[in-house]
Amino acid sequence: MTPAENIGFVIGGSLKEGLFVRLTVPAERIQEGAFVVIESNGLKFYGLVVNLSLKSYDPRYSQDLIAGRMSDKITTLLHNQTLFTEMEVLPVLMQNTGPELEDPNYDPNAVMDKSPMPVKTLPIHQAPVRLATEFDISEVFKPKEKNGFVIGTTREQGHPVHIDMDKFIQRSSGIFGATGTGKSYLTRMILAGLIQSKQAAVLVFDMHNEYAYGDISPDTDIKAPGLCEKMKKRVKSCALGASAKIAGNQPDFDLVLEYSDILPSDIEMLTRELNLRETTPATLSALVQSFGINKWFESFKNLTMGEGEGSVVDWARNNNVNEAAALSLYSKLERVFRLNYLVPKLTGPSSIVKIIDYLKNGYSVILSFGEYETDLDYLLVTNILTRKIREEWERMTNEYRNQGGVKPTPLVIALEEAHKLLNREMAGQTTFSTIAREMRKYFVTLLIIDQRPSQIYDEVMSQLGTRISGWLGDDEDIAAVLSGLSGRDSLRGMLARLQPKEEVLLLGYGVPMPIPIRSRRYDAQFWQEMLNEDELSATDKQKFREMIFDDF
Amino acid sequence: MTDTSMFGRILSSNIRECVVGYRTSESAIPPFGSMVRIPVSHAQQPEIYGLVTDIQIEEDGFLRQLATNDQVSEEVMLDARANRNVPVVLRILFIGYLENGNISHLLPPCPPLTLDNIYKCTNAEITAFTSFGNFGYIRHILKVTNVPPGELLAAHISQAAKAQFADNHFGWTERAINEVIYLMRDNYADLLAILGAIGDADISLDGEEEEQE
Repeated sequence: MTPAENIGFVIGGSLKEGLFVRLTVPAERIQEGAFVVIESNGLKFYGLVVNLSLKSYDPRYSQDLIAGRMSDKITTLLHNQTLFTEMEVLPVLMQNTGPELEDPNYDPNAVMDKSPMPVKTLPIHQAPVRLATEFDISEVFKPKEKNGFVIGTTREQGHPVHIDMDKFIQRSSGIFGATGTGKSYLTRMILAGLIQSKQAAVLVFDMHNEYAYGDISPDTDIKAPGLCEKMKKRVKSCALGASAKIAGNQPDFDLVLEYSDILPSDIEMLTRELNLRETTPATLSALVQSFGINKWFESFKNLTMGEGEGSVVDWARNNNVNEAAALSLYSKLERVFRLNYLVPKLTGPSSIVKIIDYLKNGYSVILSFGEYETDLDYLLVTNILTRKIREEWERMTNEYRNQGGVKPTPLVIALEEAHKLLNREMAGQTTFSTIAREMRKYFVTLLIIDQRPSQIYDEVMSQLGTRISGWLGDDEDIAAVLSGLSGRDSLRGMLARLQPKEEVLLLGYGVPMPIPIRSRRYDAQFWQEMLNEDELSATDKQKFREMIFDDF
Repeated sequence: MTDTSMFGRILSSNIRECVVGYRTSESAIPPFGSMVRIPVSHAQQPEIYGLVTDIQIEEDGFLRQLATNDQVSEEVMLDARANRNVPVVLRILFIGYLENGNISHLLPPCPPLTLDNIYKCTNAEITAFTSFGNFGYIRHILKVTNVPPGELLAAHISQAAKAQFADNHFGWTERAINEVIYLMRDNYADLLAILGAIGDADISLDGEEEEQE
């Protein structure tokens, strides 16, 4: 490994404003978002280039066109000293490297914490600045344990960048990007990495039927494989509705719900979708009181719209319920009554129990909605399922903590089109907002995938630990992705100027510092590398050894 | 006459400069900007280096009479020029000195005495002095007041570049101009005037004179 070339030196700055660096190389060699390293008095500072500005020693040197008035060589010499580029660096991490071997203060027995930590001081004036090497990137991003996943490479030099899967699942996360920025392929890669790492089970709510058996890329017309095709042993496919298929493929099992699975709270969560009235909770409460918690839905469905015995009106009169309210609820619930995947009684084992059992045992499940693509289907099914998951994981966690039982398998629920369930109106009513806010301690987190992060409730967004974002055009979306993060003003421009395809910005808890990267391509090579991970690790180790020896 | 020959004597001096009376019997006046040396006659005194910043040719009473004549013969004219009553006067700016074999770009510790001899520098002396250190002597040139500093610098760099190139020292001119830019970049107008003068001197950055277009 050759020593990295210096690209400039520190000329000023502060912890609030960041560092100002005068470039000694042409500006075109440095890009916004580049990962730079500044070494100063036994400390190594890691930072991001957040701005480049053209400066001159005196404005007249840049304003007057002197070329032609003197020879090209003299003009070049003059420009080299009077015109320059100033680079703004957002320092994020610092690392104690200790004195050099030749330093008289060097103590071979000294114990020193050399892990990168948030920046708390500044390098000295004129400290040299260089682009990060592969070793630096590895030092910062590669987890110490074997739970790192290479999500992509740095944009300038192509050095691999890892995310720590262990940290990624500890808090809810989000993947954002405008349509066509490769969000769903990026999600597939991350899910593949997560499944491969065996850190967590994953439940994917697949609205567009693309995660289990893949789809045709609109850009290349090449089929992009699904997770069930490549990771059969660890991923189960499930389709909503009896005998449903997923893009022509037979799923491992299907999901059919019993009437008794539906609770009044599930209906209340559909208030917006079904345009329910304010009287609905009272009517639902009367129904439960009248028929019982397991039978209320079926019994209500079996009532008739007319007059007389067995009618809604008759039931309302007998139970002191407003007749108009009962009739209104009945008519609005008719959309739910007609859903094919709701049955009075299942003949076989419950599909929900099956899903939960798979997840508890570390398998991942992809629930495809098949032909049921309405918001009603999505809201109802996801709510019922997550409610039951939440109950089960809470029970298991309490057992684990109170009675020394088995630790629950960490679970990540991947949610596409998340704004439908987590918008300002819905967030307070769905189980998802509770998961985002509180379920971390019960080993359940969300992975939100969306193209309009500004539509997601602020309180949920603020709970997101790791955020991975592709290009976003809308200012409000950019602001939403960066909400609650330090240095967001500096990162805003970086996010807006990402290449629309393949470039993403990593932020938050799962990565030690924000960094724009070129994401891996979701192609045959990706799967080859994923499925031969052990072999790759050995190669990585060999490369690392070579780097170290070359350095010495 | 060789480059090393004496060409005059000190008439007056101070710590920054001196005035020299030129021996008109010599064949050529040292040109403006050329480097000279003054071995101070005191024992243990340094040898002072300087640049010719001015050449003054004044009239004497006899020349006024000659100038009013209708016809001046060639012999009379040559005699009047060679055997002057009032010498040609050169002004020398001190730029450093040599003491015990060590070059310094500081002003000399004491000025030369009157009637001390003054010599033109050889290429080797020019190369040794201008290659030493980091162009510290240029600061003296930039503060000269009796002539435009750009003109003086252009003349000096032109002479020194040739000496450096003759000694296979490439890149000296570029470093010298860089130093001038570094020292003068706060003063846009003066720097451009200096660079303009250097440009007009047709000095090649490789040490050779650029071909005239």
